[in-house]
Amino acid sequence: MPWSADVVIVGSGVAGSLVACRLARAGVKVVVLEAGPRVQRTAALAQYRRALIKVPESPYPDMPHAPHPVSDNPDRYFLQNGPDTFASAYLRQVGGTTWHWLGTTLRFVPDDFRLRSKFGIAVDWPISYGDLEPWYGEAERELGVAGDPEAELQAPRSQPYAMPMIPLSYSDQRTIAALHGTPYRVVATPQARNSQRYDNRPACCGSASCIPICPVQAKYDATSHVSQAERAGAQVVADAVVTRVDVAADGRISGLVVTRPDRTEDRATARVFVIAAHGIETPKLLLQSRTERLPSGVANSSDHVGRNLMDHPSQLNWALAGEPLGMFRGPMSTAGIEHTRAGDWRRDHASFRIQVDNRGWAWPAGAPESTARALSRRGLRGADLDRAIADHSSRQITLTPMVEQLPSPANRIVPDFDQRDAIGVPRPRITYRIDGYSKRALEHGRRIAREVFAAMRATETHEAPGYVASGHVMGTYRMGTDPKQSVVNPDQRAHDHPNLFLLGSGVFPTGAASNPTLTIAALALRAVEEIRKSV
Amino acid sequence: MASLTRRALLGGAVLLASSARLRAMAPVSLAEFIELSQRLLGRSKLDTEVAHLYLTALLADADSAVTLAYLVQSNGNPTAEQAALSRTIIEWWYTGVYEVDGKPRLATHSGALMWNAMRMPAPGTCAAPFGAWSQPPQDRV
Repeated sequence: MPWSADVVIVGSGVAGSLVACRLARAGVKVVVLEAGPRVQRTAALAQYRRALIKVPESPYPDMPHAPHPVSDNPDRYFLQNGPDTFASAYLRQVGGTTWHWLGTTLRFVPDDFRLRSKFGIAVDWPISYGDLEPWYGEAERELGVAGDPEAELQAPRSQPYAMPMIPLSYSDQRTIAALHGTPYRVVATPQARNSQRYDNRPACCGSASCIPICPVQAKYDATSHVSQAERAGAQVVADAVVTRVDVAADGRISGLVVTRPDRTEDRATARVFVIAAHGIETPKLLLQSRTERLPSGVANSSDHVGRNLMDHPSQLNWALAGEPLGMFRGPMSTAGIEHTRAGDWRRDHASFRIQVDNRGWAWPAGAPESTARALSRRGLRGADLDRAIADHSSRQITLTPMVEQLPSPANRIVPDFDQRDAIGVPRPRITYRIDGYSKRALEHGRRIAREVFAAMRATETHEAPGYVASGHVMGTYRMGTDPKQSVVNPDQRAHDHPNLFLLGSGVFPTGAASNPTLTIAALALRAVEEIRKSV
Repeated sequence: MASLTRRALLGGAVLLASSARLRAMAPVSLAEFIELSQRLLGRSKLDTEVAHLYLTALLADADSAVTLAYLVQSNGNPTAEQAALSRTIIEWWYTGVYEVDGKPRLATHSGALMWNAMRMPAPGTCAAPFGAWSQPPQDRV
């Protein structure tokens, strides 16, 4: 069945569904094409409970026609060129990766937008913090952000948070007390998690499973805007894999080829096309759409499509606090050290934040299962074993510095035309390297973690030697004013094709140190009016 | 081809016979295994289905089946093998993860006794009123 609409949107994650919702409400005829399936929360919860290894992807189907990367095997879908392994994952299903995000909604700080002019490194964004500030507020209302107005986050606000803050965990409070008199401040994290009923969704019930799934949708996910878009008249088509973007002689996008799970092909046409398929699938689609006339792919006269791939490399540090902290309760993280994101030292090393966990050693060591295993192997039994597990797990602290990574054209994703998925689509081949600028910041993060552990009279301290991925895929179709150095203009319109918009963290010229989702949402909302005017 | 099929058939017959013999010999019954688990764990309420998974896994391995039978019959002074098997059984109940042919399998997520020890439901279940995580942890026994 061919689809025809005013606007066809590829991808139903936070960016695609927000734009679909706004456009449909404005009376625009919208079709959203989602590569993956529709997922029912009850089925996903059941699959999560049955899973032996509970990684972020555990609750969700991995469909042969829309395969996604998995956190515990970065080689399953990605083809890795090295030298470092790119291990960030994402989902392909209706609602996208917001199904398993943590919910952190930090804004970027003003300096994140001007690294070149202020510190002489990387590139500036073509827009400033001030340009985006009203849209941050708008995004916070759409997603439903709970925040502490007193928390110092180096990002000026003109509008209040949508909801009162999520209470700090007891362990956050003890950490704050222990750090009194040190240079380090732990503050409440703004998060898209309900502290009261909002958007017809309930308040958080402390299921402690934000990643990979919230059982009650107290944590925002994009299925909320998918439903709102459908109620406003948008058509959302699941299992519709866009495999080619066609370009007419005049440079306008003329249509999309859509491959179905049975490998039959359909066509989608529209006046305006929006691709919001995240940082790997979007550039891959553009590059695999190469033709004789456009040998380097669609929207790629700059040769920047697929390049400048960035993540937030992270390092795990964990220890046993000197007192019970009541870990494994509530949202997985409710606080962090954020003032390390802004400072003049950005000339020398990357901006970073330190996530303070509420889930014990779950991430670094697979607790509490590993805790119960170790203590029972020690020969403890009955009430002694119960007490030991309860005491140890209660005192487990984990601090995770997450650092900025500078854009490098050499870090890139390309379609591998020799390695294809079940419906014949090239798989992503990735070249990725973490440089000294990021590694120096990881060192600083590790040093701060040691100081925090000492302040908490911690024992059994551990530092993971390598780094872990954050799942923050950014930079692969960056925005800028110079068509030779960027893929989209400040409106997120492709320099090369007037009726093509690209949304998502792929447009970030630099990646800051804050989790990207709120900025993705703010930029998507900012693009709505330009998209509508182009219809 | 014909001999392969015959061998496969024979193999199947042997397997059938051995599992029938196992049942007939009944080295350890489910009731006995639950009683043993109760003794090792100091708990009375145990999930029968989970117990069945653990028992089946232990009986599938010849060595552990024999050790388990001796362990059920012993009245203290466990041998090294019996002590090791006791620790394994306790570990399985606490983590909800057991092994078949050296590979881990999940028996139960919400029923793993570690959550009971920690006095909280397994993740994925609404745990407490909003904001309860900001209170000090409850006093332990």
